[in-house]
Amino acid sequence: MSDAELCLLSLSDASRLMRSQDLSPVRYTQALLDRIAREDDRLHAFIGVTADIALDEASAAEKEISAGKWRGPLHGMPYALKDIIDYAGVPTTAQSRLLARNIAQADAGVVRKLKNQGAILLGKLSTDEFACGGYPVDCPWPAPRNPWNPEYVTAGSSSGSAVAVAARMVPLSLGTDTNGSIRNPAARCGIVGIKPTYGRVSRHGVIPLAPTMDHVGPMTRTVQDNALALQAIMGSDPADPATMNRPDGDVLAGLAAGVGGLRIAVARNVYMEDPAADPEQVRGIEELVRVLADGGAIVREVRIPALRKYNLLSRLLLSIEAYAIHEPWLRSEPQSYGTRCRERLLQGAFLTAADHARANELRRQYTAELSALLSGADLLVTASGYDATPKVNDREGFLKTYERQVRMPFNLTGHPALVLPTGFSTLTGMPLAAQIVGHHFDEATIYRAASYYERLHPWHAQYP
Amino acid sequence: MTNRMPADPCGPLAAVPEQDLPAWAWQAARRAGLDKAVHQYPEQVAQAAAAARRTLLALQDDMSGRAGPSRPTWRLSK
Repeated sequence: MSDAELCLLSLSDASRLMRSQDLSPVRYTQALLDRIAREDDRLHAFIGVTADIALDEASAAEKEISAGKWRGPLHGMPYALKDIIDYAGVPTTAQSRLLARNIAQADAGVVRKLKNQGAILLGKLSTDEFACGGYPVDCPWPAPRNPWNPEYVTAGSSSGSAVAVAARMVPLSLGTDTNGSIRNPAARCGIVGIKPTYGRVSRHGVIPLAPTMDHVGPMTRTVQDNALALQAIMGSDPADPATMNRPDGDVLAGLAAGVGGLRIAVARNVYMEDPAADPEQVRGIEELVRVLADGGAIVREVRIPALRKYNLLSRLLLSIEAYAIHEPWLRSEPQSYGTRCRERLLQGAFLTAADHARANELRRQYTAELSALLSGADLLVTASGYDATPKVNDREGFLKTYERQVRMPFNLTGHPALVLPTGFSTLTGMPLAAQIVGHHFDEATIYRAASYYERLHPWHAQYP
Repeated sequence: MTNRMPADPCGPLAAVPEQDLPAWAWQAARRAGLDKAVHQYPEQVAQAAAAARRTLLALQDDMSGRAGPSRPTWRLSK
């Protein structure tokens, strides 16, 4: 197998080959590092490449696997981290001048798990500053470019995480999602990204943005890879109280089960009743629904009643919580923030404790409304966003997509939500995507439906 | 930059008239210790207050001001 072919391997396929000792962790790691060296000058997915660490860890994995000490599916598997997740001894910059010289003192909870399973860090990935999202223009490192066409946005904030996976520079990355920041770039870059259930994955050692809505999740090219990665990083961590006393589970259990009998609620109203919705995004979502129905799922329609208000409330809570974190720096050195991040964070300065209390009360009401959509159903299918991917130079068009999306509601409610590719635009060639939402701690059923669709529509086999 | 002061500098953001917003924002920001931001980025501070205000106004109908735990449905007497 050539180096180019190695870079195309899915996480699952590479893992199988490694377990059988038909693939060397060192050779695989070096092939990916070479690809990063070739591609990243134009794509800017990485803020830092940890080649020395990667080759040391690959060498250790090779010795262990050769000695019959295989630790599990991620042993010898390269991955990369959004640069707000700590890896001891390596810079965590958050794409900010404020942390340009910050070296992580300890591993994040998810990194500890990945290290214990023998995974190999390739580097730290670009993000919008402090994961704030928006339209960053003046950050210390260049913004990542979409590998399908660099003239189009990647979206954020886990932009580097999406680009690195889509461009075959790494089979797995970790991102974070506070207002859609895994799902949006995953959708725009044509990969699979999940925001797991709130409390499923530890956020310890991850720079917070809005702690009641922050989630860590895997980004991969296939559904199976995504499930494999989530299984590896999920579980309780005493350092993140949100993860305590949560149910365990095998999220891989239903991958091959098919969708017969699954009850699917479809929230069509958000994209079907909007005349400005992109027809190709709509067709992709409807094709997903058709495939699930043909596979034996029972489909019924539901309405998301107040999408705009859910998104506004999510943004309001983010403003309040993020300001609480950033207030000291906003006071002492506001000039060290990029323009967009500073403006977004400052909003919280004008909101009061009373606003916060009312917002939390409203969150309970909205969560009840959204949870009702899933009553009597196993899954909810809807859009991630329903606009075409805008060009990088279309600032207004890009910011408009933030108003017209169905990701933020599930940061409010904590439901698990996955985006997967549903094809490519015939007009622009850019990826299309849909979103599948599940009950709390039931990512397995999401993966079951997504995997079924992916078997019939293997969009991941196409690459930029 | 206007010197006009809002009528009620301590009033809630959602109630501030549009034309008073920049001055209100700078005063509120200074009270929060954000003097440097007000000095260096007065327009951005005002824009951030305007954005927060728009969000509050859009949610105003649902954020009734009666926040609190849900009230019991029972009564002391029939």
